[in-house]
Amino acid sequence: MSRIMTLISKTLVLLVAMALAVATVLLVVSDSDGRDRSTRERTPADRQLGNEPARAPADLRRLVAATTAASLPAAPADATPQATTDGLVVRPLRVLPLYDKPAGRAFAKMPPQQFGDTWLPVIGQRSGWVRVLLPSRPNGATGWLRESGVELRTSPYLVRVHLGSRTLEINYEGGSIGSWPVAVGSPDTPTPTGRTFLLGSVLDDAQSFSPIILPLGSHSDTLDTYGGGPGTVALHGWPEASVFGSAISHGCIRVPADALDRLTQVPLGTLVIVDNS
Amino acid sequence: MRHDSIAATVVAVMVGSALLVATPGASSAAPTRSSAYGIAVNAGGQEVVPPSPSVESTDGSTQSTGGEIPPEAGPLLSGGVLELSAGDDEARVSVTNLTIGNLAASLPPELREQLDQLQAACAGLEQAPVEELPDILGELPVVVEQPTEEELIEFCNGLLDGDFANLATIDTLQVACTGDIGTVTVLGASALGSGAPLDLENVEPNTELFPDNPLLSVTLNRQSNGPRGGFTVDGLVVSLGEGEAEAVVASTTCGEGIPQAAGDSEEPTEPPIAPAPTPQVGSAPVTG
Repeated sequence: MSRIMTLISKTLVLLVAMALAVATVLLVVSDSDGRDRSTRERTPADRQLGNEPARAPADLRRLVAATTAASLPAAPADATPQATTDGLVVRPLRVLPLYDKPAGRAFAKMPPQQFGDTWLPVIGQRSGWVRVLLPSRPNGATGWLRESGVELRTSPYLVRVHLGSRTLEINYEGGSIGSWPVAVGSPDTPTPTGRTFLLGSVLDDAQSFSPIILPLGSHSDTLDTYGGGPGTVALHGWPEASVFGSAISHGCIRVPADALDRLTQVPLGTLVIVDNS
Repeated sequence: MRHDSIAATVVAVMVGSALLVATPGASSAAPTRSSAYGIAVNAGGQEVVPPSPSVESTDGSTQSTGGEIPPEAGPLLSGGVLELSAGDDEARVSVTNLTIGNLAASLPPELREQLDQLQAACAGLEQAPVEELPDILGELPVVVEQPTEEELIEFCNGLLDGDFANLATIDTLQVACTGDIGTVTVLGASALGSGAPLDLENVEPNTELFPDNPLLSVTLNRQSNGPRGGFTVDGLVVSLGEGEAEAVVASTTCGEGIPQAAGDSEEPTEPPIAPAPTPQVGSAPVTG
């Protein structure tokens, strides 16, 4: 009996949802005079406001979720992988389509949560749209989100990783608040360069090398998988101080405890720029 | 007007009771503006139903008003006595006795088909093998308290008799914010004349009922921080696609910054600082 109750309850909810869907569709395609809004000629004001022609809603069920486990070859590449930003970060308020350009083609969807809330750095803006870095392969993958579907915040932080000097630097409001020797990827499994971001803050009891793991949006270019994961690069601690200053890891950046403490206070979505200097 | 029907139908999603507690957000320093409104509908970049009725306080004094759901949100929506207040970093809105209008007059063919399916399930309640009933939605992302057998039978009897005229009724919907804390309460809601309203309890902030629906999203207890530091709690939000249309029912905002001098050109304001992350217990296999 309880199974039947569940099904009827679900059906009831579906009824209401369908009523909303039908009514909302009619609301959008018709203005108050009953004309088809999608065929209305666009005005200069529309173009200035970024009101692109109406497109059919993206079918989220058919789109791949842009998580750390995904590969999105159709994602436009980051054209300026060493550039800083003004610190703008966004949190999707719901599952959102990712577009290859404003009002363009949807190639993936962004879930509001993966390692907790999803926060992404903004690397470009147009009226009503934000371009964000993605946490999926390939490195440097980007996509456009509608600004109406995100919460905007600012991160005063910037993290820089210098592979040549094997150091990590944390900047706050433009000034350095510390620099530490770190372990970076070995020549066979190098840490990828370019800009990425803090994707999560995870207490993972399955490992013993760090009290906390800070996954980034980037992935190893030489390891498709590692430890059961998709080769996600991360910032984390390491129990042996002798590794700091070495190129010895499988791609992750191993940092001293003091640096890790500071990094745990850095908002998710904060830009992390890795260079060869 | 179809505009009216969406505004009315929005409320029908609230088919249960929920107590929702907000997580901390941001609030800004005084002077701040607190505000509340009953319903707003935007579509195609235009306000189909502007926020109404509404109230605001910009000096910390408590401002109150009342009213009804505006006629633009009808004719499907009727009743709906509203009480709103806004004061010193707090605001609240209460909607009572909401009724969603005549079912027969408004039911689209797609809904009628689903209703027939539901009636068939009720007709075969006593003897229908469970396996023959479709699992339409899969697992819902919220806890749904099951009705008792007696309540279910009462609901089915009403459904089979056609003894209902309203899509849904809601006794009370309350949304409030105090600083960076918000609460949303939905009580006494029923749908299709059901005597067994669904109960939704312990729903998390920003809960989506249909996260993968390509056509619409339905969000309970949406929380957000505005560009001036205001903390907003929306009781129920329904959006089409990627935001072409959005309806908000019962919204409050606390701690919104006020431009210093009227008449001054407003400078672009930077979004508030992003929060430090809250570590999540879980698995994060990384390259080490």
